Amino acid sequence: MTRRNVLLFVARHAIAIALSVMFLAPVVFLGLTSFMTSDQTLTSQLWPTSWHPENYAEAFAKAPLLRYLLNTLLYAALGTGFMLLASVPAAYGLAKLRWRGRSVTMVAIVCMMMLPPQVTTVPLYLFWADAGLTGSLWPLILPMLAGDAFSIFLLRQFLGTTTTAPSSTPPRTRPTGPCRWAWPASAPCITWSGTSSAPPPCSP
Amino acid sequence: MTLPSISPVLAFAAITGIIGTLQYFTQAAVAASVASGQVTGGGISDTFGYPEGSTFTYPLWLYVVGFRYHVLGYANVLAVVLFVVSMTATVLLRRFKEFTR
Repeated sequence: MTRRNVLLFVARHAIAIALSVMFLAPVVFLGLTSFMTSDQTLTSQLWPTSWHPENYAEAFAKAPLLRYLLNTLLYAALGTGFMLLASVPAAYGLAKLRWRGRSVTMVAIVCMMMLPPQVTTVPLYLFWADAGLTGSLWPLILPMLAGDAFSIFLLRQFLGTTTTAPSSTPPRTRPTGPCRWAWPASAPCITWSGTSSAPPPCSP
Repeated sequence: MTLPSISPVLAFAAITGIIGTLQYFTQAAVAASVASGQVTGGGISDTFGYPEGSTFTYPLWLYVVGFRYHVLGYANVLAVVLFVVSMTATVLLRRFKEFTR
């Protein structure tokens, strides 16, 4: 290695280390705070004055954390699965097929994101209360069967890019044959919409 | 990967960005409640806008009007206006042909 390369190596790694310290600091702070007394957590001190690992035992004793974790897993798995099942075909139809009303449908789907969740909370609650499903996870999971506006929009825009299909492919009005082209190239955007949907961003 | 080929993705980022920014709620609510010193309790939306309403965002105000003062008609109008503004921004963005393909 030449002298110049060594300097570059050092500079690049110095920047990378500085950045990683920046991103790790909140996580370290989180971990350190978990060992403090509850009085000390509200101060600006970073290092616990006395260590309290029994905080962890207390957390599990005071609340059924494992049950909560199971709920979260159930919701995340079923919700994401249903969402992808419904959103991917919808996005494919909007991105790759030409049909009447395509543009209007797209705008209607984007419209579903335009009302803040604070506005839809009460009507939604009344709807699920009438259905007798409040107190269960189903009101969070079942709407995903109808797809999620954010994900449909995201997938549609990505499937529409030239990177996911050869630009020489002529527009079609109906799917012909298995859509093998779609999978490898669109895997990143499907993964993204799947991971970003786990906590509902603003599911209408 | 050139600009025209990622224009649908840019359109996605622009439109969801506009919609998301117009609905900015949680961070402003949390910041105000922390700044007010009332970490817990205090009742619903008591601390929104602290201090002196300087941290109100549009949906925060909507929430306070609707669920704290119970002026639901006014809150409803606020929601409709928010919808119309988002809609107008989206439709204007879609007018750029290179955004929609």
